[in-house]
Amino acid sequence: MKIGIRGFGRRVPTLGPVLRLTPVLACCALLAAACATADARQTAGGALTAGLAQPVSCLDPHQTPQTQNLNVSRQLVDSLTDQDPRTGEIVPWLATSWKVDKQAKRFTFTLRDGVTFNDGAPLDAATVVANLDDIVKLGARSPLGSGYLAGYAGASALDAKTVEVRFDAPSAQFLQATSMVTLGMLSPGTLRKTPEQRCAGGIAGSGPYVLGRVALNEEVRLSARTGYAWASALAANRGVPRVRELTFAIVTDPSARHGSLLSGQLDADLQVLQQDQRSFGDRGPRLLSATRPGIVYTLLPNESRPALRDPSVRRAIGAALDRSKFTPLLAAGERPATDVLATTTPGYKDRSAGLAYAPGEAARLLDAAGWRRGPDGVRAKGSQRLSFDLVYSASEPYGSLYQLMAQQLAEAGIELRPTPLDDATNSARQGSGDYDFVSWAVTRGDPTVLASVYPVKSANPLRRTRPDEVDSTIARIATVLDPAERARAVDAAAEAILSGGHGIPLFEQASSIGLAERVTGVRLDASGRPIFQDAEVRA
Amino acid sequence: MGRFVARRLAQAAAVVLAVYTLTFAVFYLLPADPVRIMIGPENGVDEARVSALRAEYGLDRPAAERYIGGLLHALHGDFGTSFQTGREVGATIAEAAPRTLALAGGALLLALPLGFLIAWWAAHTRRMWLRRSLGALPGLSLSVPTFWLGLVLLQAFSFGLPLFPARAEDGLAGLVLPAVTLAVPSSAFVAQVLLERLTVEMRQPYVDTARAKGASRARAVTAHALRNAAMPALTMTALLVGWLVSGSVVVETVFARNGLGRLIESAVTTRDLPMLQALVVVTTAVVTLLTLAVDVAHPLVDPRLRERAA
Repeated sequence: MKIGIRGFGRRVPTLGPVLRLTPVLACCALLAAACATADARQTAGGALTAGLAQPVSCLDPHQTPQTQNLNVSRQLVDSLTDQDPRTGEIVPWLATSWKVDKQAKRFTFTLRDGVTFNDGAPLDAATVVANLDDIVKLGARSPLGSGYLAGYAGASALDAKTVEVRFDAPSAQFLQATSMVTLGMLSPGTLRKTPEQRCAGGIAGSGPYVLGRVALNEEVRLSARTGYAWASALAANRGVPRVRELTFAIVTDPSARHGSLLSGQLDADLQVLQQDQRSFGDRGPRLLSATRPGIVYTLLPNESRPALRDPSVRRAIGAALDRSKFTPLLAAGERPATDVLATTTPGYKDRSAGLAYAPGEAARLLDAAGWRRGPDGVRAKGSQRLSFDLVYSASEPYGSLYQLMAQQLAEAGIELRPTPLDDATNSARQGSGDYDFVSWAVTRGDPTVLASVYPVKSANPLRRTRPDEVDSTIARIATVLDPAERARAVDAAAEAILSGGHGIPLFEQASSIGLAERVTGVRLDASGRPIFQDAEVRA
Repeated sequence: MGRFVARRLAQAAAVVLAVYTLTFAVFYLLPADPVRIMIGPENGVDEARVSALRAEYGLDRPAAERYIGGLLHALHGDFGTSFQTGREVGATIAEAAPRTLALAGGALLLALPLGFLIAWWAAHTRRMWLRRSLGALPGLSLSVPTFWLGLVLLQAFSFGLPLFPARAEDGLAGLVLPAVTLAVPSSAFVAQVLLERLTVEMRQPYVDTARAKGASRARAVTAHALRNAAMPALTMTALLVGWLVSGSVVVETVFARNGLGRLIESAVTTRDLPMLQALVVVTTAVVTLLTLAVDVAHPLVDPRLRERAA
């Protein structure tokens, strides 16, 4: 968008803008006089307005998988637990304590006293059971929830304050899943409503904010919940938030959003474009960045393609990349990957030695596999050239990084063609497997996130057909909860992924939001969502 | 007259049906999956759950069944529910329509006088450089990308001088910048058509007669030439309404207004077929009916047509 604007600016003749704007300026002057009362809505004190980049389409956290929706829902509902974004540790929220059996199949939560939903209903064990049952019943309508609750065998209220959740198979990921907004608690009255009513905003949670006006394409207004006193253990202020009026304004145009933040019409911009990040300095609005836990941005080969069936080709591609050169092209808070998982994910280990730039190794692997340099510099075997397309959404900001990778790979005799597509075409080609490479990151603060990408039974962007040690090592992670044992399980899985060249880690992704100078206390949770519990706006 | 209107109404219905069908066909020909777009790749949802959700929305049924089923419901005014929001499409449009109506109305109120003024002034003036500059103005305004103009206005009068809010809010203040943005190219449409006709009319003998009898140049333009030249501009206004709706796609995005244009934009990018079809049908119906109304109004404006009709 920004580039287009600059381009147009350059093409118009110098006198053009003046001539063209004359009538406009005249009109504006007239109208400005007519509405001298126009206020720029300077928010101050107890009000905060945050700019959302996409329209809010559904507010029910159990159903929607979309970031912008969940950013709003996070303020309305509480979860059983919270996750420390720096350490990945699970801390108390609505549950004060919990026990997990040895097999990670039986979870027992003890609930906090005195918690109520904003429709007056109290939070008790039966409500927690009803919430989990509801998500399972939503089935396909809860694409994220049905994953968190895979293998759910049922839950029961042992007494008013104790819930037991059972799984058919080990599900160590469930504890971290209870911290996600998708498994947030809704009131029993809300659960009786239809999924459509809930999407449209008919939800009552126990969260620090209560839903006010909802205009799906325009804004969502929230107000602080009177009597709120049960914020998670991570909050400094456990009671009613100081920001009493919290508004999410939908401003889809990134330049309009950025300009609104700089001019003080917005207090926060929840999606700052990479090219706008440079304009944040020591004074004025500042940038808040946090590394996203989960699978790092990873180049994923389509292993059903003939050339990419060979593990040595896949490993050679990884060895031919010089990740240290990525840094200038990355956004704030982002850095070259040092593991298949981001540093903030439990189970992360520094594997940068295995991810180092090794052009000699790449050449050796390709020579051994019979790929020889052709006249155009690209390696070939018979009539087959070592040439691959990388399909990605044109709205991704990583086009220049992919170009750099293409240059680096060209030196090793591998042709990479980055192919930007519109969102719809991109999703269609990814869905039908029409690509050599895709580039993905999956955000989640638990190492079981590996199970969503690499095994045969997963989203399977690798198009693998036969389960092997990748599948078995990843499956093992779900069965262990002890940190040391988990680290060993993750280690085996990461080893299987990297040695087979199934994933080529690129860089750790970060969430960045812009905050006006007068705003303090906003933090990003483990999923990169803004939390306003401790926020303050100086008048 | 009655038969004329009946025939035109039948034509309008055929156009709406054709547009409805075309939208459906394009939706099928374009490779895209609304469910995958909705879930997004960053969540790592497996294929089984994606196809379950697809079935939930009836996207797995054969195209013919979906087309005929959708059409039968649409004939009863029921366009179904949006894939994205799960809300009734009709209610969503009803909520957004007043916003676009205000924007288009505001733009039209600015564009018509402005367009008339430019054309009138260019026809009236005898200074060649001024006539040339005014004549070039519509072409220039039309070649300015609307989003660029919108962003420039935002930068100048909202971010620079805090006169107007950048976000849509109820009331006049929030309407000014978007209406001006949309009015600039719209006025160019009007001015272009009107000026072309005025130039022709000003060379007609009746203008010389009027001048010879002592009418000033201003009077010759206003009272004589303009009355004859206004007809094409009137026809143009009906088409302009269609153009205003498409212009609102960009303007409402830049100024964050919840209107039909925003709905169209998000329905296209998320491949929300029920939403898109309803929007397309509504806007097509409005434009064809307006064109019909203008055609019916022609004899009222032009006495010559009245005699022919009688």
